Amino acid sequence: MLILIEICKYFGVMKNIVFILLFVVLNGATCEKEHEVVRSFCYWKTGMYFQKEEDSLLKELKVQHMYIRFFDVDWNPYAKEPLPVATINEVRLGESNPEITPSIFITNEVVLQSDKKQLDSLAVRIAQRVQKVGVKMNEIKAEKNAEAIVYPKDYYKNENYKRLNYDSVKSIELAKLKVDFKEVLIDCDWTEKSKDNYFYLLQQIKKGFPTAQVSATIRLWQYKYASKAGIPPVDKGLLMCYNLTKPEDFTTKNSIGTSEELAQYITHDKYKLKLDIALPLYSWAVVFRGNQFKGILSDYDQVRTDTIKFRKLSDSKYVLQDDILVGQTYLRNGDEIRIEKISNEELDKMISIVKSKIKIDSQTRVTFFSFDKKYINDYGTQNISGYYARF
Amino acid sequence: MEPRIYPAIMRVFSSLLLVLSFQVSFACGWSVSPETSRLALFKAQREGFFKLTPFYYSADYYYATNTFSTVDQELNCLEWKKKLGNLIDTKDVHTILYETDGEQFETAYETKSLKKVFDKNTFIEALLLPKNKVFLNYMLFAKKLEYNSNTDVRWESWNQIGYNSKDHKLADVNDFEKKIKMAKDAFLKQRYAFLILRYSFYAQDKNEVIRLYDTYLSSNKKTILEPWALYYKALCTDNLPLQNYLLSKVFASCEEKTFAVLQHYNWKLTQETLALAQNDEERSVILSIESLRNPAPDLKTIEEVYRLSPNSINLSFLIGREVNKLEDWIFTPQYTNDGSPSVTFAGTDWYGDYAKAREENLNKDILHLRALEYFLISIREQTAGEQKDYITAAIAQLCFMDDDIVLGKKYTDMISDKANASIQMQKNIQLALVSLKQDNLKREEVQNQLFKYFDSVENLVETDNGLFKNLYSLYRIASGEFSKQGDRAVAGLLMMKSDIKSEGVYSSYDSRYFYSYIGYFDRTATTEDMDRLMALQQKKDKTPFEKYICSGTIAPDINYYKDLKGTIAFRNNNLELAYETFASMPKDFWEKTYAFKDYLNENPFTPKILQTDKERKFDYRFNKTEFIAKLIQLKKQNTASSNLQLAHAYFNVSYLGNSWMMSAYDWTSGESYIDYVYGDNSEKEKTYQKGNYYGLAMAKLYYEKALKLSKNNNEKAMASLMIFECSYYGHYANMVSAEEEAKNPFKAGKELVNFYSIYKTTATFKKYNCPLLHSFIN
Repeated sequence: MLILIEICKYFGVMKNIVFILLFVVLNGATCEKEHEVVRSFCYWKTGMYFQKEEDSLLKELKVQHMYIRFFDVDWNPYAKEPLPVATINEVRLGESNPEITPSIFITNEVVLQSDKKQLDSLAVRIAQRVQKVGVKMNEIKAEKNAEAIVYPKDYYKNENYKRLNYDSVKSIELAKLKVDFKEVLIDCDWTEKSKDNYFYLLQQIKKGFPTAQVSATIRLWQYKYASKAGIPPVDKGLLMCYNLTKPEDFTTKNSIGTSEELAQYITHDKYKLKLDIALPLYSWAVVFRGNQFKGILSDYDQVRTDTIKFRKLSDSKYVLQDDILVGQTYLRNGDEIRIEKISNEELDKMISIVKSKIKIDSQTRVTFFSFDKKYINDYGTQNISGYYARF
Repeated sequence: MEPRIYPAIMRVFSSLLLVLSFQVSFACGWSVSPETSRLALFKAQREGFFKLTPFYYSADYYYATNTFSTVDQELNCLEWKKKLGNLIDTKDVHTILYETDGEQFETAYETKSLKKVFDKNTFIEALLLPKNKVFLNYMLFAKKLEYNSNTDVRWESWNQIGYNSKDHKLADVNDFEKKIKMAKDAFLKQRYAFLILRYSFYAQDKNEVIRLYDTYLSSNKKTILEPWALYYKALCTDNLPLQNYLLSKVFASCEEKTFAVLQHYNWKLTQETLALAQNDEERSVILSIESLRNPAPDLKTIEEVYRLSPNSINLSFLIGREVNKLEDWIFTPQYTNDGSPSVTFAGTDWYGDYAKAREENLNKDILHLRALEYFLISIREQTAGEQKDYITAAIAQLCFMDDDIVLGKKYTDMISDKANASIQMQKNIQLALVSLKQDNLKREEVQNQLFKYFDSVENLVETDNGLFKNLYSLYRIASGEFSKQGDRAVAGLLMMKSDIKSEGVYSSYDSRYFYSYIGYFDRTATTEDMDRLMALQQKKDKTPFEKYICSGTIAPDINYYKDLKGTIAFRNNNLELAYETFASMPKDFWEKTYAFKDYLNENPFTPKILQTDKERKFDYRFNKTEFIAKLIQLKKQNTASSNLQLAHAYFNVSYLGNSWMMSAYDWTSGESYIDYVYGDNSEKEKTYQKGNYYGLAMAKLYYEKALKLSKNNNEKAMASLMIFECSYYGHYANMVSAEEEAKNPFKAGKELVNFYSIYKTTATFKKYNCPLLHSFIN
């Protein structure tokens, strides 16, 4: 734009020509890109209570889809059977209404230890549990709808207002809502050894969801060594372009996953499954005293908001202005807090690598792991929108 | 093997105490927990105090702590090391015994991945040796038992989601007796016996607990399992003095059970319990236990314990508790807004005649203090080493509390340089007190030395959060001393520092706002103090002391201070200084800061009292600078009309007016949050503008001037009416009781009579006369 203004200054008379040229260039650019990917986010926490802030972030980012972790399945060594753990408490999406894909994380141990019979029953139980969480989710939605009907805005100002029966309105609203997921995602870091059992389980799961697609996460090594890891018998894959399980585990740079590493894994374009793409979106705060590492602040929202205790030095650096106790760590006046994340350049490179080998079209979902206002604010909605657009 | 249940419960328990000790709002107003407001400066420790931590003097049932003794665990690890060979690192034993949950161990065992999951763990390596299979089996059994006693499982049921969906499938553990019998190794036999003993305890099989202890553990005092097992046996003993006696033996021989012992100890059986003791040492432990939770003066026990065991850790600890009690009774009332100790006894009359009770109690406390001090001085020479340093520090602290700084300094100097770090820290606190009491606090080197003392305590806070209390107390006292020497700027900052330390936690609720930076100064500062504070805020090359007291306390925006300075000048009727100060501030400050625009939004030259609700408009753009400029101008004019306007303005800056926020930051002092934090401000408010804030003195003065100067009946009517209003509200501003009112009833002056006679035809009269007003003349 700056160049354009300069041109106009010097070639006032040629203004029209410049605009025509610009039009051609822009038009050319749009012609080059044929698709818009489906904008998605992963939500991996144990409770989802979206409020205005989260809603507006979804709106701003034009997020159309979310993978929501419904529950995990782990192997209980005492009962010697797979059991559910960490089921999501509530799914409360506020005003936003993205399409939801229930996601279930299954530990490799479950697949390794279970016999066929257990896998059969696991598949049935997963389908039932997804349904149960879905019903609970709809109940919350119905409650919200019923409240809006029974207590409309400013109802108390209306003298003639007659209140409807909340319970009956709620049951009518609930009846309108169906648990009808279009897709279910199964997440498991299967190995060569557990491959057969896992693929068998996936086939059984598929039977439990006759009207939905079943997708599976594909880790980078499973992509690279597809012949060894096998291709899961599902409708779609979600390629996880990073090497991590939990954000709080990462204390070293390498554990995040870098573009360099990604390039080492995405070496071919022959994967025999339609793939969606998952990219990392993390950040955390590291505390230094002098040059000495003091610890990681996992919850550092206040670093940004409390401008009194934390003086901003740059976009990612803050200095503590008071002595405070965080957990068991006594942080002192003068300690430096650095917010670290995968850089924009790095993410750009990662996107280029993915695009060079994997077919992207308008059906492709690009999802970020994971949704947290802290991370989103650190990257900025504009940058994130830019990442989607880069596909 | 001992599971981690006890420390976990303790942690939960103590964090609960911590939560309870935070600031809470009761229905009747704001309050902090007594334990939070309690002052304590004495926190010297001897090696071995650690296990006694929960019994430090406290206003709560137990003292909240963030640290716990792991001595017993280390001993247990050492026993394993001795058994399985010296190549084992006890840290690795600790990892498996105390940091690995049952399930993780079981899973790794089942999937044959112990070696992989616990990579490079020397204890696991040893357990995996074929010759040690029996030990591995034991460990597996112990972990299974641990899993069964763990109620907080992560597993959920397939049938349910939401609450109550936890599904705890217990591990199968049976045939206990066989396990003991099968164990050939005495070490293992004893360990199996302990596990089963503990299991039997929770299964309420008392006889089995006693049998197992007597059969397998009583004869071997070399293992830490013995006192642990004895604890369970004690609780299964029905004879209460005997139970007490056994508990006292557990108390003396291990660290982990001290808290539990105190919880189960049966009080009021002292003599019966003492009768069972075999020697003086045992008797001293029993007496110490009896005194460890005593909130009342207890010099008698200290003397007795000294006689029985002069060098014992328990004796030192009890002395420390006694010093802390006196600090609470003497310092807490002196340095907190609440004005009473955190612990008061039934029969202490704090409400009847407060001043008298306070004096009586103080006299009583000082006598107790001196008795303790003399006793400690009398035994000091007979003690040695750490005990001697500890007692010397205690004597010094008592001297300071008795205001005998010279003697306090003498004893502080006697503390040896070789004393442990905690006693050294105590010495630093005491040197800080000496300096605060004796030195010229304006001198830079004195201040920087103080900073060094402060910092020496700060540096230890991370390892002992309890020291926040010492900082809180030290800064309160320091604030008082700076204030005494006339440096109210530093005094205020130190007071804020003290408040920060009293909370001691990083809470999202403590984010500071405009008033929190000026609250103390609003109550104490002069305009000159504000100048000093502003100079300090602006100072580029702050000294270490200044840097320290400013961190977290100094306002981020100098205009906060300017606003207060201008307001103080206005309260003092120094309009020129008020103008000059406000004029140096950004014009939009009052629109953007605090609640100014919510309370300064009406025309200050129309008395609020004459307006109906409908007439009030809240759209006036109030600017303090312009307001003061107008007052100066009106004063210069000195006409009837200008005096009338001035009078209206002064009426409005009183608490009855529409612009009270020109004079105060909080409408009236009483029970607001601000008063609770910074202290009641009512007396100060009464002095604003020579009594105008409550008594309308200035407003009345200008109405009287206007009445005198005016030739206009309408103006005169207005002035007369308002003089009546000022007299009326002025009269009731100080009237608190019906008796006083009966003695000195309100009388409407001649102005109101004139209003109803001479000015009866004026527009003002027509607008404002009313039957209620008229009734005052009858």
